[in-house]
Amino acid sequence: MLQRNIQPEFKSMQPLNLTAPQCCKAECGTSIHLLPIQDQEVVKIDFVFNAGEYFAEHPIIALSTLKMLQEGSTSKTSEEIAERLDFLGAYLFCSMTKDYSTITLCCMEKHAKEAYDIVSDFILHPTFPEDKLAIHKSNRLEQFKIDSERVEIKAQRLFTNTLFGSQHPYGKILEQSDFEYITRKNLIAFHKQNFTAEKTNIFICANLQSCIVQDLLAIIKQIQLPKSETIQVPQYKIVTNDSRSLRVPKENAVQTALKIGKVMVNRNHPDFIKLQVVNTILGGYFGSRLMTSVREEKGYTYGIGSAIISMKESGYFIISSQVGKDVHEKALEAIFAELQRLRTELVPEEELNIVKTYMLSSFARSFDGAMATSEMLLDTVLYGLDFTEYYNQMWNLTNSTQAKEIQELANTYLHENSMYEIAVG
Amino acid sequence: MIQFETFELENGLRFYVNIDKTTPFVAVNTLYNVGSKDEDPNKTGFAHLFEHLMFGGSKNIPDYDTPLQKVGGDNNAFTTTDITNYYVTLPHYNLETAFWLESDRMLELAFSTKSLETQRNVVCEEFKQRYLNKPYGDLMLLARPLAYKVHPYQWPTIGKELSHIENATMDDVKSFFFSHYAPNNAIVSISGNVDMKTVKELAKKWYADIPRRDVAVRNLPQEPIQTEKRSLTVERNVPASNLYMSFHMCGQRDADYYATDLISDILSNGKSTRLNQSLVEQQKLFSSIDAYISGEIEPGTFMVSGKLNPFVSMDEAEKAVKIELQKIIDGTVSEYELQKVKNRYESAAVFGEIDILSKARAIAYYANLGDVTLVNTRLDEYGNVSLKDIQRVAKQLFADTNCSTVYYMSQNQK
Repeated sequence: MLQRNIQPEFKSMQPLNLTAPQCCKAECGTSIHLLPIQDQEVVKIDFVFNAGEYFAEHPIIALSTLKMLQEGSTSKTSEEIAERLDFLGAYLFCSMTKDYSTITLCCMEKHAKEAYDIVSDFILHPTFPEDKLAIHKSNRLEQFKIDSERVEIKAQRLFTNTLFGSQHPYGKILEQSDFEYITRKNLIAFHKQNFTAEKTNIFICANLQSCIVQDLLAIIKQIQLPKSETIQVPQYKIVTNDSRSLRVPKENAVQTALKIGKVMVNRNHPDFIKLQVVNTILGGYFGSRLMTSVREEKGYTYGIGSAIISMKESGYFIISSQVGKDVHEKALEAIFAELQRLRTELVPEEELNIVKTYMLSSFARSFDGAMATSEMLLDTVLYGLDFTEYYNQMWNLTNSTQAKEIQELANTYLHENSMYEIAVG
Repeated sequence: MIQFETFELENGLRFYVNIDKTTPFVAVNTLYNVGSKDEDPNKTGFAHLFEHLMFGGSKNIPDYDTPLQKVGGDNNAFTTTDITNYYVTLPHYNLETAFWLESDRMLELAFSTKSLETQRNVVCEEFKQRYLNKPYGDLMLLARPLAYKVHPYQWPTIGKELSHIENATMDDVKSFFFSHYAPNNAIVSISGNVDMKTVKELAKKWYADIPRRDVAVRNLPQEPIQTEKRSLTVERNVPASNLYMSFHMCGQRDADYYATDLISDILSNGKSTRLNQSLVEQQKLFSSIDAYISGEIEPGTFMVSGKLNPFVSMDEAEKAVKIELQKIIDGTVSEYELQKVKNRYESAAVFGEIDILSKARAIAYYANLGDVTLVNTRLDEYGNVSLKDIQRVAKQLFADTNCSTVYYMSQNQK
């Protein structure tokens, strides 16, 4: 007779055998990281520049510079670039964090060389033409206005502003008046200063056995990014707001966006890994305490989560949700009760084991395939960490975290009285 | 090329298996052939509410998530107008837990009152978050009933209105389960590090004793051919006005589906394509504009949606879009341009089906559509579309009388 009420036998997560991806240097000194793809004739190339908002005198310039690169080079117009890349079936993505910016090229192996030539050409020799800049500026402004209407985005902006202050690039809120800094001159200067050999990493996911890919690599190694004039990282002072609570009403809103948190240590700090365990228990997975209480038991929200966000020069802890407007106070109460419980009660063994298994399995997923692995590699490269050492340590520390340590960390870092809260809507 | 094997149990449950030894994981995808199109017009949003209830415990297992988390598994689900799809990924050595969990909720749910109460609230908050509390969020709620007068595609998966979800009873839930959730109305597809022998054994062990059920016969009302153009004007507190046009198109089993999809790509897939180059870059009428198909199984809609630049009138913007559509009818698409969108389709399809979960999902989707081989052959179907097809389909598609337009006016941009 089939025993449907008993879970079949299972094994615990088996440790990974991590090997560091190969790395080589281009002639100009830029690091090139290689991640092997099996079976698929596709190529993904990420150009990662230390050129996030943090490095711009006016943060708004960073994203405009990145997006405008493809709008013309000394040898091709914007239309020619777009036309050819589209014809090759090549997809181009631009993304930006506070610290760095990325151009990603995805295409079939057979078209990779030609697509790479086009992309590297505009990275090296962009022209930032005035007519295209005007269109970019106007379209970005329209999008900015729409984003500003969203309670979720508004709350996030106010939250980082409260934690880091208006003078810090992590905390500055973009205003409509900042758009005047988007000028050709400013973009050229930002590009010259930051899209350089020392400040760039190239990540390639491809079938490294393929002859086409080997030819491509030989060409990529010849990329001539200019030398940096300065590699000094600017320093800013974090000025956290005095007021712990900010409420911004919005007429006609049916939900309230909540952001609760504080400034936190980043990936370079020894407590960072074990803090991730604490965070996962609280709000880092579907079965977390916040999801269980605020969504599954009380039905106040469609989703709630927490995270510890690492940035190069700092970090923050955040709890984030959108809750029904009428239950907003009750939701806050439930959230603070969970923070307090972390600090005052030991986590039961069974719960801790589930969280560890969840974390180790998502850890294993992060190395499943070249494209996933390249993101993990990026984190260690940007923070100057050794890939195998850091991730082996992450596995071991996660696996060995004790309930007592979790309580201590919660007391040190996540006291409910140390939190800042923003509510919009 | 995605290789797969298939077998069927006596109760009608079909399995598809793709073996991929390059990963330590396995994906198990369970597709139920039920979507919001199968709902009663007075009880909409039900297929999706039901998807939430499927996580509230089954007959012999009080909690779905915890046992899965214990074995390193991850899962989620989604509902569309056509299907409800559940998926799990887990380490290959713990495959059996997925069979255990998924088979028990196919057998019978726990039907817990508490779970129903909570998920009603959760879904209402989802409704607010996605459709009500976000600029332009209600566009879909407005556009569908304008384009469809009879067919159940007239409401989105979330439902027509909050009250339908708020009033859902346990009897509704039970009858929905037994008339749609059945082995003979489902497909299980598996991709990852497995072998056929194990899969067959597990399939038999966990699924063979689930009884075949009388599945509600699908008898969808046919949408009559639209004979006059329709429009709706609304005013909202948003920064920019939005033009939203829907045209009736063929269903996914129709041979013209591929040409229709490529027309949307010719108009707007990529920076170099027509709508972007003409309306955004040159004429500067829109800050962004897109053309896309709903991708539904029954005859669906082809949409053109764009945000107007300040000081551009709706009338001027609409005229300019129509000129672009007319150019397709007039045969201005070149062989080169057609090849371009085919190339883009090819790489998107290849990149989109590299990981095990995407592969498992695609196999189940096409099996449910009625032709599983499309998972590999649809690239050829797109490749075979000719310029004549494009012109012929465009002519039908872009007829004025086939169009329903929502003029979503900004209060600040009048």
